Amino acid sequence: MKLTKHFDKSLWVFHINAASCNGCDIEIVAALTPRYDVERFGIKLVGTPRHADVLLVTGPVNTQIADRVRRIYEQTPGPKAVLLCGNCGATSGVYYDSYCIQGPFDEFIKKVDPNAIIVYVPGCPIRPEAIIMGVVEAWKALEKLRGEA
Amino acid sequence: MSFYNDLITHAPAIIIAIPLLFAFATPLIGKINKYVRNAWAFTAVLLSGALAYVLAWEVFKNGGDPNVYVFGGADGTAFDVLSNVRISFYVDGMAAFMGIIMATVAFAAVIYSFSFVKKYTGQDKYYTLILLVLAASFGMVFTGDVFNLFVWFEVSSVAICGLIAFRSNRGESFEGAAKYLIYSTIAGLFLLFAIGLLYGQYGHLNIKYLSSAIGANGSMMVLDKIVLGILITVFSLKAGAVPMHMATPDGYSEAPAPVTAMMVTASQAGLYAVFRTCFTLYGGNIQNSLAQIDLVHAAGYLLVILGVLSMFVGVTLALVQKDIKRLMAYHAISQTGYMLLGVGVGLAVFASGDNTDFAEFGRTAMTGGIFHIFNHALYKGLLFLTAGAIIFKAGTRDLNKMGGLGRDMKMTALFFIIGALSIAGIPPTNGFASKFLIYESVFKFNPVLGAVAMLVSLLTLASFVKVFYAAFMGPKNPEMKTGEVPKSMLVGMAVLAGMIVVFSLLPSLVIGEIVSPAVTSLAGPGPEIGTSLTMFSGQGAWNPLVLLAVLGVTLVIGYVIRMLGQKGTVPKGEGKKPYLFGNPTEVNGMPFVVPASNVYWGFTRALKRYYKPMEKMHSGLINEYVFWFVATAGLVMLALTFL
Repeated sequence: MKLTKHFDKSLWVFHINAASCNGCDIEIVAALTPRYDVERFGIKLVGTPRHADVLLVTGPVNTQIADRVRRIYEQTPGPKAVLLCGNCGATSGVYYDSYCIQGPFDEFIKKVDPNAIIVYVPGCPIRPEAIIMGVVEAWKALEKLRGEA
Repeated sequence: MSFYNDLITHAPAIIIAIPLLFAFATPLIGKINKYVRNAWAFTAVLLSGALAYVLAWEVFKNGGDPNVYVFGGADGTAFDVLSNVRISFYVDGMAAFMGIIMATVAFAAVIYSFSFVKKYTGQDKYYTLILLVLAASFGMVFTGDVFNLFVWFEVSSVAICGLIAFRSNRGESFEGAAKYLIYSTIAGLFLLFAIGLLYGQYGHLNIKYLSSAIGANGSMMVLDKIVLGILITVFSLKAGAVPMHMATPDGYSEAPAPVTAMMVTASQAGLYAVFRTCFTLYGGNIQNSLAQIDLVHAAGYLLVILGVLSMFVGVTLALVQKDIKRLMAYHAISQTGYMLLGVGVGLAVFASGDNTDFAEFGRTAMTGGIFHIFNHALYKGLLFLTAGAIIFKAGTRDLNKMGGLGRDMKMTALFFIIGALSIAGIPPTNGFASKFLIYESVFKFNPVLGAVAMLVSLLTLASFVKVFYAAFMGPKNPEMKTGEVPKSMLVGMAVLAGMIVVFSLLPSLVIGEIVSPAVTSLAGPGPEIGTSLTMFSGQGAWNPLVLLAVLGVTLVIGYVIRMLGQKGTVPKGEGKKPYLFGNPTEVNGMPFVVPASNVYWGFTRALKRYYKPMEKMHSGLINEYVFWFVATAGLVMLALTFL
């Protein structure tokens, strides 16, 4: 089946905490609550990456979790996108240059899958509205993917 | 056809004589050659089994007309002084029904044994004892004499005890055998005492005479009630009902697999004896004795209580077992509860007439319970045989240590699936057909019981999913042997699986031809259930062929949808491996598996206020087990005497 615009209307999300301080995790859960309510866009939290369309990765990636997050990324069926939530995803945030941080997560993913769709959501912690903005950016990226496909 | 008529006339005696005599000759024949001995045992089972089927055909054909055989050639209907000491065999619908069950499972078990015990010493004794168990089972169900029932009860206990201890290199086998023997012997002594009471009071041991004598003057003596209490308790112990079940799992798990299948049928013989006691022995004068019908109703409620306890305790304890055969033994206890529940409901509303509760749902409950006996023998036998196959290949009984056998043992896995779906009562299997009858009728008796029955089915399915996952799924353990089990074991399993499939597709036919005569012989004539393809239970209908047709259509639709999908989207590399929370599938060369004991950890933890006392109650001491039996017998006697 070809990727249609209906895909944007029901993105299922799998949340991975990769050594995060939990600040962004709390904000993600808050985004799912009735106040900010991303569920009205069809976004749902699922329990297994096999059902997921978008992986929400919070935190910098340390030595223990690096291999596992990579494995989970590979076990998620395509088409998929990665939402790196928070400053830790983009620049390791406050954990910059720590002894156990492996480095930017997007480099890992690009080694595995060069055409991975990665969306950066800055903030420490992120605001729920920023997550919604991140989802809109993901929609735009998927639209471009459809335009090419 | 005079030979045929003679054969049928003497059939009950021949059916018992063949395994008995062949058993005693087996050690001598075994000195010739092991192939001759195997053929000898096979011939015994084949001949007596075929004769049991022929006898059943004759009995069912005449509309349940019983075949009475009196040893010594005297007339079976005269109760003169000489008939005090004559043993008579009384084969009516129910007895013939049980006879074909024994025959079928023994046939499959003996064929299975040819490969299963090939590497063991002492095979002469094994085949001797198995034939003795068969003879004892036939004896228990065919006999029309109460003391003869005790004799066969004892023969069966001793023979089974010997077989449990077959693997004599393990101390646990002897422990299981000792527990089984002590337990059965004490029960046998109680039984002997009860029979002594009956003999002392009535002067005869013939069941037919006793059924017309008990309650003949319109009232029930205290002695009658006490004897009924003892008989019900003792035979429920043989069947494995809670709270007399405690020595059963040890015995079932230590015995070799085909022996366990035979033990299942021997325990069904105990169940048969319960029904024979309640319906025939104590049901003879129901028309003219209100006290008797009150007693019978009380016994019915008692069976219902035993049944519900057995169902629930059996399955909840089964869910947490690590040993595959012990798990299945607890399920045998649980399914015995279903049968006790079904027939107990029938007994509790037992009455004649067309507008009574009995005609409305009691008869259906009885049909369901009795049909369940046959189904249970088939699928439990099949499950124990597959468990034996798994143990044969894996070398261990512990579920946590086995895995990945499904790659090489596809036939065994298929037979296991058939058995597991059947025991869980999943449509369209025959287990569902009998459980459907039980659910619908028991629900009308008391909705809570119907709900408990369904809950127990769910937990049964859960535990068999755990066993299937542990034994067949998952990565292959490199230490285990590869390849499918030997052919004779597959043939043995296929016999039972084939009968399950036939029963699943045509339940109504089976009920009409085989189960209804059995119910009629116990409870008197009544309306049939269903036409030949659809089964009507009084509240609902069940036709497995329609369900299979609908499933087939659904599968076709699913296939069409799949064909419309995008091609070439097979995942590669890491994406193909199972999702294990991101963990690698192999650690240091060993595959990563979730052990079977941890599969239901949440359930077990949540119910620890139930499981901890249960753990303390099953202490492993035979003294405490005997205490439970004696206490239950006492309570039952008191209940029946004063209520």
